[in-house]
Amino acid sequence: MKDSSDKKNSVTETVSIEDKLFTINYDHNHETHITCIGDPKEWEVLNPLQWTCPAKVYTKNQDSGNLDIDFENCIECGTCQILCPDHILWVYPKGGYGIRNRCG
Amino acid sequence: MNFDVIIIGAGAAGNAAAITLAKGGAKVLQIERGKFPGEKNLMGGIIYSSSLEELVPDFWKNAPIERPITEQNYWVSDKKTVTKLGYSDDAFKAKTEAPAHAYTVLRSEFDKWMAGEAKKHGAMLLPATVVLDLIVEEGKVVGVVTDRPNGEIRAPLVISGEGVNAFVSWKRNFGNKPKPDEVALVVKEVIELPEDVIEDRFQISANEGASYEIFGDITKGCLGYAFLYTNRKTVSIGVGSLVADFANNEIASYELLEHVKNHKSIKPFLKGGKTIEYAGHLIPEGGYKKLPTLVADGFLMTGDAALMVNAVHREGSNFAFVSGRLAGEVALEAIKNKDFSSNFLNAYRKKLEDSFILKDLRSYEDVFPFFRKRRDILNDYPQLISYAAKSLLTVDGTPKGKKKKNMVKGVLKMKSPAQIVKDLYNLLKVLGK
Ligand SMILES: Cc1cc2nc3c(=O)[nH]c(=O)nc-3n(C[C@H](O)[C@H](O)[C@H](O)COP(=O)(O)OP(=O)(O)OC[C@H]3O[C@@H](n4cnc5c(N)ncnc54)[C@H](O)[C@@H]3O)c2cc1C
Ligand code: SF4
Repeated sequence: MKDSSDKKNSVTETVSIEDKLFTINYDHNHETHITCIGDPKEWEVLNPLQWTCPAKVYTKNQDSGNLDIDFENCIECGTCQILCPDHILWVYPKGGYGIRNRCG
Repeated sequence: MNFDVIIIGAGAAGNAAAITLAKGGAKVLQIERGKFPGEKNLMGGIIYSSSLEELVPDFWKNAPIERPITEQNYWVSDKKTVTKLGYSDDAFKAKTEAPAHAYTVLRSEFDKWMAGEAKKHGAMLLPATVVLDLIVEEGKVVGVVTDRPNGEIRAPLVISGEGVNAFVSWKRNFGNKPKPDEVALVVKEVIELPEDVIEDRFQISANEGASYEIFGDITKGCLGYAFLYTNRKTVSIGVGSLVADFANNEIASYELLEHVKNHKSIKPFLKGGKTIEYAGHLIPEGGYKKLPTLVADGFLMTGDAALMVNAVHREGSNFAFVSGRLAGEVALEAIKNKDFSSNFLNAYRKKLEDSFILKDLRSYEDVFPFFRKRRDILNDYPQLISYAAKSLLTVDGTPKGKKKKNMVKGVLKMKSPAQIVKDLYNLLKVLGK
């Protein structure tokens, strides 16, 4: 599984993040709870989101150069709004929606 | 319907407060964003019996607990080697009519059970509801705004058990959003294995369990550690580090988790297992120096929302149980006296100061800043420990006396005696506070 982001460190990945996300139970209402409130092309700030988000929600769109947000993969940890508080507005999904951990 | 108190969240702290208040006869409303308590929550996770026993006596007879932790292991990994230290004690085991010292739990089931205990005593739960804001009038908190239609609910006292992402409190400047180096991201997998295979591999019996915490090279230079805990029919494996370290070192947490799972000392434990769930969550590590307000007019903060975590001893649930209970006790007094002023509620802070919580947080206040500044310690000393073990344990015909001398010489080549003494002194100083 090759990572689309251009980060330096790749630790051997045998089970891909896509396969990991496949084990998660979600209840989606298809409304996004993540908004980019800053410049979606400011990659000096946004770049680390690509590898720091544990659900790979953020990627650089290779055509437009904008930030793509795959909000339905979000596992609701809150890392992104701590890393980029001026660019990412992240709120909880509507009550009852989003991840539903079976183990936790 | 009128409520004496609204609790935001049905996690460890919120449930502890709800149980205490409901038992005391208060009219409690608990608001939880999950459809069920627990489905948004995650931990390693080990709970300690002493603090839970105070809330739910004999909890271990009915609670969904996995395994008692009877053996604790600490490993230090170098690039190629692992030095292992294990500790098992019969005192950790359950006795007739007494619980074991600690148990592994899976939060989804556990929180549902604990919220059920509050319900048994009369607490009301409003699930699938997000609290968006506090209602503040004349400087006093007098209720909450939820994401339900006509979502305002009023009560003279609100207790935040929001957990690490305390958006409601932050909005009103009760505490601040942590910086990337004040919070750890932990990712985890629950891996299914047959019960007898777990017992064979970990060399435990049916009523025993083991914990492993692995430090050093395993985190690829990120400040943090990996863990492996036995549940009944699953094991929990995870790794965590500061958000800032993942970001700056350009390491993806899920890839680091694969690195941990494939580590030669860990892989045999997991062989043939099936990952049934992947998850991630934050742990606040700001500690004592960053403690938020805790108390305001009509408002109390508990658990992770109040940064009550001792990450060094993986004690978060413990602090959440105790802070939730103490907030509940003070709230009962406030209800009896009809006084919800910060002046009256300050008794909560006093109780925290008298308990181990603030004492522990204060005594550890310099530990994290120390490691944050001295990352080299986490890289150099595992190497040094590995080298020392290797030089002593390799059988190559060198007499033991000479081996020891060589070992000392080699170690001193890696770090000067003055540096070792200084590091040790500084470490003991922050740990021994
Ligand atoms: C991977 C991991 C491993 C850990 N391992 C251990 C361990 O082994 N031992 C240990 O003692 N501690 C451990 N901890 C720490 C421990 O999990 C926490 O300290 C503890 O859960 C804190 O309890 P809390 O009630 O404050 O927060 P939480 O348990 O997070 O509960 C907060 C609750 O509030 C709800 N909520 C939040 N905001 C809102 C809102 N606005 N509206 C409605 N509901 C809301 C949430 O859905 C949740 O149910 C670990 C943590 C992690 C992440
Ligand atoms: S909350 Fe966590 S999982 Fe969701 S987008 Fe942000 S960093 Fe990714």
